[in-house]
Amino acid sequence: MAAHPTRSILIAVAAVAAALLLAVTVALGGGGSARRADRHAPAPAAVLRPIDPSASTADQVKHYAAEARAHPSADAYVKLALAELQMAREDANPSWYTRAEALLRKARTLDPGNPTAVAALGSIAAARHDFVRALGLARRSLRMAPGNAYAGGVAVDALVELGRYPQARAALQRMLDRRPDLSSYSRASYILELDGRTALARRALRQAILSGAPVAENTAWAYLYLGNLEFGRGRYAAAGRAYRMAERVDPGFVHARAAMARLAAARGDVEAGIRLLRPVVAQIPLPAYVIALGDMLSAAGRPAAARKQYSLARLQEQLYIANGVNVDVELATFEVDHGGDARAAVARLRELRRTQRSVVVADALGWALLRAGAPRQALVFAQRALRLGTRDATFLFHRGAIEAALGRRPEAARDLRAALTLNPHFSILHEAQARRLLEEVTR
Amino acid sequence: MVKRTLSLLAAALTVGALAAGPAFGSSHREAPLISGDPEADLTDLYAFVDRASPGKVNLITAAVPLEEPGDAPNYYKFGDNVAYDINIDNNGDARPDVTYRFRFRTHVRNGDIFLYNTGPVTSLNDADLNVRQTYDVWRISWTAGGAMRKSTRIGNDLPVVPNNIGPRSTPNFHGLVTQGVRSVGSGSRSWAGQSDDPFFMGLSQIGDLVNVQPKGAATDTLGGFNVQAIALQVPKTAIVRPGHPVVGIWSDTERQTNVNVLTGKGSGALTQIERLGMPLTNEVLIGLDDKDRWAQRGPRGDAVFDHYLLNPVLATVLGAPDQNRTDILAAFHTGIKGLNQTGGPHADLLRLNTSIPAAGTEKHLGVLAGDLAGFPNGRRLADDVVDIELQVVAGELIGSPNDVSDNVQRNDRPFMAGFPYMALAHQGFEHTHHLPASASRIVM
Repeated sequence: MAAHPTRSILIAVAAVAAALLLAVTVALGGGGSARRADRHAPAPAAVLRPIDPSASTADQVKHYAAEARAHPSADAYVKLALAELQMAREDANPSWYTRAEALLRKARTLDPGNPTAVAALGSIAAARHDFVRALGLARRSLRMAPGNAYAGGVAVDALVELGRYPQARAALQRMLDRRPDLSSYSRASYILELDGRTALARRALRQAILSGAPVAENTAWAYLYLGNLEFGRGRYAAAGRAYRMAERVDPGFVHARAAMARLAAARGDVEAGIRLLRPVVAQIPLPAYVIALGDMLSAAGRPAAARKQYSLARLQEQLYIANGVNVDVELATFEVDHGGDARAAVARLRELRRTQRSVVVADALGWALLRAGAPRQALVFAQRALRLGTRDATFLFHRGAIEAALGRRPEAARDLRAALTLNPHFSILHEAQARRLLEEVTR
Repeated sequence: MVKRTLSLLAAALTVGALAAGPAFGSSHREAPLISGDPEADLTDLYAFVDRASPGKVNLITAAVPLEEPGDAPNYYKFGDNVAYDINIDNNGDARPDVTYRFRFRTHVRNGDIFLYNTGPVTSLNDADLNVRQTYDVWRISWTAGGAMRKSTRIGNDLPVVPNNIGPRSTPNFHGLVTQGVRSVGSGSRSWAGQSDDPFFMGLSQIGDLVNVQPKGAATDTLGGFNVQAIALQVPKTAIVRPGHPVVGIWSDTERQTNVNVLTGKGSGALTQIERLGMPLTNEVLIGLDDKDRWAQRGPRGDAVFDHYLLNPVLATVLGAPDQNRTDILAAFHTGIKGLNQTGGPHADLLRLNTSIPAAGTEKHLGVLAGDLAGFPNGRRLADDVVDIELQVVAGELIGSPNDVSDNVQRNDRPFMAGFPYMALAHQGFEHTHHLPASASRIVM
């Protein structure tokens, strides 16, 4: 037996610290240079104090900021960065992206082989809608740590947004085959929804919900998406149930409130929508919510109040741009729908489409081209938007309106009818117009 | 396990890893980036000969790390589309010959899943228990080639012991635990439900400045946390081949793949999420690049991981010989000669020589202390696997006797004297954790 108790304590601590170092990096889905760790004693890296995951994000940021100050290390910076990215999600302040990015760069300086830092930079690129960059970083991270679920998820998201659907499906199926869990099932639901496979998309979301997410908020998002899927199929009662479930699994989940507001307004109670959405916007002024509130105020006959929201949305978009977020699709669609410069929107979207060949961008470009007075070109993109067989009332309405402008009355009637059958109250902005157009083309 | 302590942190990170986006109106939808799957996350595996019934063996595994007791509104359960398997190799080929498979179902009485109970729960079928689980147990036998020979359901719709919520909701939790013991065929008993996390270790605040818990004052870092546990007691004859008392055991979790984005239909095939044989193998010894690969395959091909055991980083850190450590390889991949060697391919298995009777007095250092009925000959709940593994890696078996220790030698709660042996789950009130223990500070 070893004679010196202090020494044995130190050894045990070293051992546990080493074990922890390995464990931490694994918990992160990699981190630290794996090969280095295999062969050599790990570099003296700080192993951080854990924090109760149910602590508020603000407290987590505070906790990891203190850890990063006390033990500056790649791990500490990565953890603080991830906590800050969660803050961005909760308070819709995009300046967190800038701060998190700086931390991740510091982490990479200290540990160039840290796959989590690279994948997290990929997440930031995706959040900024730079999907080419996101894909590159995700792939780099996957080369460092093959099979890393975090990086794999970033890659799938980027491929979907770049419109590289066959690759996205294949990558996603690999994820599903490896780990059929919330992370892969929830992505599957989106691709299946784009593919027009509603029943299967619903099943994927149910599986995601059943998958036992470690954090309630994850399950809340799955319920939210389930509600949106039902809303998109005009199943409003089912949508409401799903939104309520989202709120119940994660009390205070603000996005469920926003979705309920949209649902209430769609079903004709615009005042209830406004009542529900105001506190949401006060809490997280995401442009999409601010614009929706403006649309509701406009529908309620309060154009001045609506204009105030629209200016706020433009300000918010500027804040996003200042923090490196590409909001071209959002801004272009907003301007097109609210009497802005359609030609400028077309130019923006054309530029974007050089890399982002998704159905979402194709739809936005088609719609902008119609408003810019180029319905023939518009139709080309509206067709591409629907090439996967996506069952989306807005896409169908856009194509119907373009066909109507081209005098293709039967096609227009078919699309407009399909849109209004699929989701009769798909948009408080466009529903009336869709009905009017349908009447005109069937007259 | 270390991993579990750390998964506190991992959970925090998964939240951070979620991409932001509005509920609607965004140009794209970002999916959550979580990679955690606690319901399929195995924490420990135990196997030991029963003391009261020397002809029987107890097999225990647990999942869902770091359950915060009584953490409304999140109550813990087994996964509904997870298969929990305990596998036994009885001919040394590192393939399962017998598998006990546990499948769970959640039942909700009044449709509101957020009310766990509507009054005091005094029995397992109490109408006040709103959310409850039941489970089936299957005994599967396999051919030498790995094909399923026979699958028999030996337990049907058995009740799962609920969460220990607190004195008002579960006033006699011990009674519920006892009611959970069910017969599953001749001489076999099964139990599933919430228990205290039986793993114990003394981990304190770690940084580049480390707080070490001094001897005597050290407390179980995993004290105050619960897990979902499965315990099975079977006659030795149900798992061994006559004349070959040594078996190799591992548990694994599998999830059903119910959706296929390419073909449109899910096969329903089971995909292995995790496996567990020897304690701490994947957490501590296997390299980062290989952790997923290790978890997702069976033990039969484990020879590819030999080098992690022959040249362990942990040995380097401990200042012990770190090359060609055949002693560590034997303990993890072949069994110890004259004790529990299985022969056949190298494989990470919890090896139990069932012919060694239970010890009259258990020693927490097991075989290292001359108690052959303890780890690494199987594993009992009270075996101090952290100290044993640290001492072995530090060279105990190769001429460097040592007493490396984390200074925690027992669980924070006493284990039950009889089956299912687990320590009672902590309740929602009156539990404490010991994570940030105040202690002396030593500079490394």
